[in-house]
Amino acid sequence: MDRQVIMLDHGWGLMQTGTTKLIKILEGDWVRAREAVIALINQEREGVQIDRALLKNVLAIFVEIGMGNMECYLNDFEAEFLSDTAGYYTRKASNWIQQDSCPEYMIKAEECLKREKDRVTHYLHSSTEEKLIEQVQEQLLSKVSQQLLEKEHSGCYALLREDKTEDLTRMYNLFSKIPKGLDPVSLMFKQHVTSEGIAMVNQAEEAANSRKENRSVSSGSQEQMFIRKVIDLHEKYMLYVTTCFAGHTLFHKALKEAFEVFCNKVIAGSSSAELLSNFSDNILKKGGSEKLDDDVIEDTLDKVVKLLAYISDKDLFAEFYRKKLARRLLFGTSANDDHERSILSKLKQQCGGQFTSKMEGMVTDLQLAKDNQSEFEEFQKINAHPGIDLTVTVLTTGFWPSYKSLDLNLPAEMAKCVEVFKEFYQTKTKHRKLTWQYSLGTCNVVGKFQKKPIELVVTTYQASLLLLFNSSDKLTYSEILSQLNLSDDDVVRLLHSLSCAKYKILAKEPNTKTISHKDSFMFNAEFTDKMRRIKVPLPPVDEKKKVIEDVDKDRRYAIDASIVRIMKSRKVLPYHQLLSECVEQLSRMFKPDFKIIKKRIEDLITRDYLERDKDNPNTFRYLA
Amino acid sequence: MDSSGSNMVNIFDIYRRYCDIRSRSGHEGAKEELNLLLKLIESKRMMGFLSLNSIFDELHGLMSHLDLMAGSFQFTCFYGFVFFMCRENGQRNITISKAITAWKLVLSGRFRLLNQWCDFVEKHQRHNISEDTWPQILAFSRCVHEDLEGYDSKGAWPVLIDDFVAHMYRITRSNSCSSLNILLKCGDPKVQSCISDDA
Repeated sequence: MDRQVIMLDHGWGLMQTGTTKLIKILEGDWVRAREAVIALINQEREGVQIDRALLKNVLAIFVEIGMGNMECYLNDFEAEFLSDTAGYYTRKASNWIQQDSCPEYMIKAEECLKREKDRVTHYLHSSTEEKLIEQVQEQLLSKVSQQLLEKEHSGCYALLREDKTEDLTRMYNLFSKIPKGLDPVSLMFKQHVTSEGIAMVNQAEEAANSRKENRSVSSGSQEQMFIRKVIDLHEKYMLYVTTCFAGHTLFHKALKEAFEVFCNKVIAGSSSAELLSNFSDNILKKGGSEKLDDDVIEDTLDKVVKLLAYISDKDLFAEFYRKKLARRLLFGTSANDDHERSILSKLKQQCGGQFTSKMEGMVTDLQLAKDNQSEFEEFQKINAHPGIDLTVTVLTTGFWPSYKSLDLNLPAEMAKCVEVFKEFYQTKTKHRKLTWQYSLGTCNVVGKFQKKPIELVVTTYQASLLLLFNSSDKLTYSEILSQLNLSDDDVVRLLHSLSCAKYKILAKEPNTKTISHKDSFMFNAEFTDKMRRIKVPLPPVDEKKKVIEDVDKDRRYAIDASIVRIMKSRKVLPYHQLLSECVEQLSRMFKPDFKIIKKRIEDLITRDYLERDKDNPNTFRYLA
Repeated sequence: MDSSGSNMVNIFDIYRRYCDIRSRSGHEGAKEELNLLLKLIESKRMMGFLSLNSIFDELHGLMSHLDLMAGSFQFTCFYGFVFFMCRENGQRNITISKAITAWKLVLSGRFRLLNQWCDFVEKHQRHNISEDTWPQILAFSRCVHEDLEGYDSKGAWPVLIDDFVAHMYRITRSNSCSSLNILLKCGDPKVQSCISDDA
């Protein structure tokens, strides 16, 4: 037993001395061995065939010698190897960066990285891989990234300009692996998209200006083109983000920020909120732009809603959209009810229920009006029929844009209709007040012209004016004005549409192109047209100014409400914090101007909602 | 509440009373007392005393009797008192023309941009000067330098002051450096020393 133990001890001792001996033997050649290995590796890097098995064995000795401890491999081989590798690739990088284009360089870098990985699997210890790759990336990419990405004719901008998606994908793959490597790429992407967008804005602006010079009237279509182009641009670069850049958040952010820059520019006096609502109107109305099939329309609506995300004045879009929607619904020019509902549900999904509640109310109102109408027809059958067919659309005040209601003197025939409807409505509800909006009505009247009778589709205003000529042959401007009880602007507009535009239903004295307060008018019995039914258009008044005023007013209320809400919960708050919370709360609808918020704060102070802290004028207190 | 109120005709007495109320910290009571004082003044005005037409003469007289150190509480109090006396019919703001006369009276030699300020307000402001804006202008006059340094654009200054600063920047930029020199000359050296004392 004893001997056995001694034997074992001895054997262990022998083995240990053996290794130390080996170390001693190698000691002198240690450096030489390492240098030989590195030289071989460098030869292989240059494309020489080497004996990989030999290298594997030699390197295994470095590992084995440590006897479970990697120190020998790490200190005596790896450290030196890595620094040599660094040197090797620094030289390569400085050569290639001079002579190669960016795509060529990236291909080389990619290849090098692949080979180095390969090297690890064949003869290096696996723990080296991470360090080695890091070193190669550092030398080939990190250190030259700026030089590489900014290469004038082949760098990141050039690749984006020339749509080199394959190279861009490679760029993403390479730079996604180095720390902060994607920052410059995403920044360049953002700048590229921004400048493309700005170029479009400038182009649209120039087109608008030259149109102004040429005085051609075909406005609108250029703006339509602009929105279409922006949509295409978005689609193109969104595809870049999801494919080339693997949907990385940095690139989503870059795209968003780029679009936010140029989507909020004013083009030829119109905000993009207005242009976008006009664009959607064109898609949704009958005989809008080009004929599109349902899928294309759905798809375009989707894109419109996506684009809206970048527009900060969402409230302005909503107001313009509501105006257009009202016209489509009331004049029956909406092409398809499903599309109307579909875009509302998309808007609701993106901007919240509050955003679309009024619009949905409008669509529902119209549905209810249809039921109401059939009941009214029943009522007329039982009770007295007023002699002309009347359709009334009862709308809920809050949902619809506000219209100025004027006391038009209705012709007796129509006034009678109104009375009959009032009677009918009384039977349905007791406590509702009806306000009549004649400015939105349409009438079909028959003109008994000499050649043939023609059915005229006109607005209620136009019809009221025409009916005046049933009892008079000739009327002066001022007679018409006083009999209709409308404003000068409206009467001029009406008379122009009936006597100076395409269809000259009234003859004017003198026969000029404009309406003067001294003119007089007669029924033009000789008028005729090849059609039996014609629509006499009345150009709508430009409502842009009113829409913007309405939105400004709503914003003031929204800011007041937001400030009071914040202060009610916080009681005391420094100014800048109040400002940022207020902006945050309102950002879903619009981007409030600091100055307006300040004005609202001052206003709330005078109305005793807030006060300035006595000791610190930058702090406000809520007064309950 | 106080019998002395009835025989208080003179502006010195009212001023003493005003300062007394202001120096007591209790906020809620102070407001009420000031309102009472204002009512009293209104009733005096009905009787033909302390007429608004001659108010600046009275204030001027009062000012020459007071030892008002710039930056002192007394001065702040007097500045507030001027606003208080300029109010009409219980309104909580004063007209532009009154405000400008008042600034020229009280801030002369104490606000280095006084002339520019008054010109600006005269030309650009349409609304009356509110109770909140008034003391802010004193604070602004104390901290701003003629090169507009000392004004913190991120602060909660009333919009009127922000607009004034923007206006001044526009002028100095368009007239290049020459106008800056003029601005510097406007500053009275005596006043500068006195303002830097209280800084």
